Amino acid sequence: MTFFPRVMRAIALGTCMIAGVSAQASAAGYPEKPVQIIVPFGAGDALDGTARVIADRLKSALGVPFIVKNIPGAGGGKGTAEANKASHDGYTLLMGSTGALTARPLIKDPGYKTDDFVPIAQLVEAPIGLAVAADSPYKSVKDIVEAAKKSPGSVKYATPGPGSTQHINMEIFAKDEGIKLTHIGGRGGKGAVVKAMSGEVDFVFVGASNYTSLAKAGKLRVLGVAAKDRLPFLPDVPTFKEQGYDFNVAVWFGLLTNKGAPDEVVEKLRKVVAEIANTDKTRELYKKFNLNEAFLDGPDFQKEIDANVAKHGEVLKEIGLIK
Amino acid sequence: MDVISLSSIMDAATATLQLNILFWILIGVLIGFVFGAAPGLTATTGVAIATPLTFGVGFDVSMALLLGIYSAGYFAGSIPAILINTPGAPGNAATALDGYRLARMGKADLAISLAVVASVIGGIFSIIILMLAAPVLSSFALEFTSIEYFSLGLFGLICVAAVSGGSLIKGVIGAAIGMFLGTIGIDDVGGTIRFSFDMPELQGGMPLIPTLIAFFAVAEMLLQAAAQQGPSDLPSQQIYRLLQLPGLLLKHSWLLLKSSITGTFIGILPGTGPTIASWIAYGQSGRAKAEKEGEEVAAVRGIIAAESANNAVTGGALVPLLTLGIPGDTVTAVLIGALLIQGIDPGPFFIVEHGDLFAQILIILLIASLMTLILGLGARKILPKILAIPPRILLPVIGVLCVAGGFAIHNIPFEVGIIAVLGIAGYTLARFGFPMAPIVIGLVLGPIIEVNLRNGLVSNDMDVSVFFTRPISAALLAAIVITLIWSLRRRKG
Repeated sequence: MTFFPRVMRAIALGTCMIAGVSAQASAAGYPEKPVQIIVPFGAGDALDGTARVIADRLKSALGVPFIVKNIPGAGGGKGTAEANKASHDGYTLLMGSTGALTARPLIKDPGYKTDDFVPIAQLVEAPIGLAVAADSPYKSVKDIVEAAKKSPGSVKYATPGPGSTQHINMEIFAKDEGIKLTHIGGRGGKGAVVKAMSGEVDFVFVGASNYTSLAKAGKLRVLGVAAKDRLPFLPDVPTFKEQGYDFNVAVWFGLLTNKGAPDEVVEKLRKVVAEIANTDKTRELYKKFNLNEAFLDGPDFQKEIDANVAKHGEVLKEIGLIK
Repeated sequence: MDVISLSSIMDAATATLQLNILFWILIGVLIGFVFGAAPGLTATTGVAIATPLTFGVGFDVSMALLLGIYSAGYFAGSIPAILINTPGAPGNAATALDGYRLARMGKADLAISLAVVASVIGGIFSIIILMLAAPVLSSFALEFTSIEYFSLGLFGLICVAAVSGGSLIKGVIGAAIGMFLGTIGIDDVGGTIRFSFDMPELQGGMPLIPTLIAFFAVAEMLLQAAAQQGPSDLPSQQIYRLLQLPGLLLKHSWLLLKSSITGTFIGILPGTGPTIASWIAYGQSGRAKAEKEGEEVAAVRGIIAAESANNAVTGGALVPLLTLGIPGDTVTAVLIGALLIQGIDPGPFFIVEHGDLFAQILIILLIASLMTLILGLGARKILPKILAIPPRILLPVIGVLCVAGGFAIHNIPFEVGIIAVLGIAGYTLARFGFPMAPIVIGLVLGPIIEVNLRNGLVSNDMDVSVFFTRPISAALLAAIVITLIWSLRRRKG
């Protein structure tokens, strides 16, 4: 009976030693083998686009393949949890996004905590805008706020899903304005757009890249973007701020790796990613995907994450997603 | 309204009929065969993996490769479905029911031939619809609110319950088990997490492909192993004479047309795809009634319906993508990225401004369909030889394939565990005479039915009457009642 545990212990010890040696070796010459980037959303998503742009550029810079792996599900929770399980050697990177990293772990343990990852860099922001169907009676954000004041709960809106950054922030807006809105999940950004166009909801609040061409064709009317400045690809749309509402929502995407990865590896990644992000080639690729460049280095990205966690904690309690 | 002129089609044909473009379509079709046929890999994965390869090439090569994968990928899953009861992708699960039955009767060749030709006809039908009516049909996608999706989901469930053989009660219990599995994970309406039993892996819901592998492949494998059936118990495989195929298809031409229409329209609806299309077409195939004419006739109808419908999704799903920028299924969602990198923002302007590129897409899809036809018919003679392998060798190989397939999806060991647990559950249920199809269809349609029922009620102030007053929903609910009455009368008779 004692044989089995002893063998197991020997195997475990051996594995640890090999792992320890390889971790040391890998820190110096990183990267020596392909690196995987886990994207916790489906292929074709804006986050996926960012990851593929960066993977392509990292491969050129560091000479090993950077493989993008999509693990969608649980609002980004499933893929992020898998990244957390990977070995902490810098050979697994996570394409992190606001909701999965700073809201999901507050609702229920998804298999990781908000501080399980070391930030490498924030890369882009996907600007969020409020849009209505072409035949909607609403012409401005103010029209919507007033309609909701008149009849609380009667104005309905769609976001990618409950607990998403878009949902949480629209609830923050509603709270600040003292109004009550009814939320309906669209099972994804494009699904939410369809709900506005079919008349099921009064407005949609999702990433503007989801409906840029529809807006240009006049099939949707964008009433406001929740960004500091007007968007280059929707120059006629005023910001919320221009309409008298102090409301900025940024869904950010950034690269992280597991806590415990060797410091040298993290530093090397931070340096290389900063160089890559600051090139015309990368900017050109971002532009094609309608993404806004928003580079933050590791320490600043960490501050952004911490600020989001604090804010989301409060709102999630108020809308009943944290008990 | 003239969507596209004949001259631009001719121009596109000249541009596409070049050796290097044809080469890339062929490569795409071959990749599509592999990704479609391997359980755990799907056309969506294939297109996603191939997309970065297209970053540096032009529009024609990019679309040749990706649409080749798309076109062949939705068909190829029917091959393992027919031969070893292991659908290569969820969209081919309905094909497994009758295809595998035919293979066990020694008619795998007939089953594969039918699947190939029905797929290609369904695909080409949908391409023609895309060419002629894309802008008109895109408004159809916008007629569907939660109310209509709920009624469509319910209709699909009833269709399958009505055709699944054996005890109606067992079919209903199976569907209920599937719908329960569908409630696991984050609730898409309220955002709460249900039945995850503190396993973070389950928060994303019960994954479809491992469930499919478990209930179809693993359950069947265990049943056969328990039965200890030797190869001599299977009739030897008959060669099917292709010359008979046109006559057979002509006999079922109405079914072929009906299923192609069903597939195209389901494809147009965002949030659906080949799985739902094939099940609804299968449910409407009239195969239950055809049982009177013999098992083979019924199976032929089942395969024609399922395969023509799932490939008709391709052209249908491109309708909202190319007219609204909204994908009709998961592959077209991935195609958005591929188009963006080419500097094309798919949306209302695409066909107007890029009529030439639109024409090129149509031609590429057509050529890919024809290549699928040739390759598929070429393979039909070799592949059924798999069935001559003795079970003591074949079954473990299928077992390995299941585990590898389950791991290939996301490289998550937990999902292989799900295959093991649900596989044993599926075997147990099968021993008690429960059909597997309603369980899987319950898992696919359960969330659609639940989420849309709740969203529909919330967005209409909890007023139930909207389900009966909105015309499309009312028509679907009426179809449900008719199907139920018809099914109950048939069972009595």
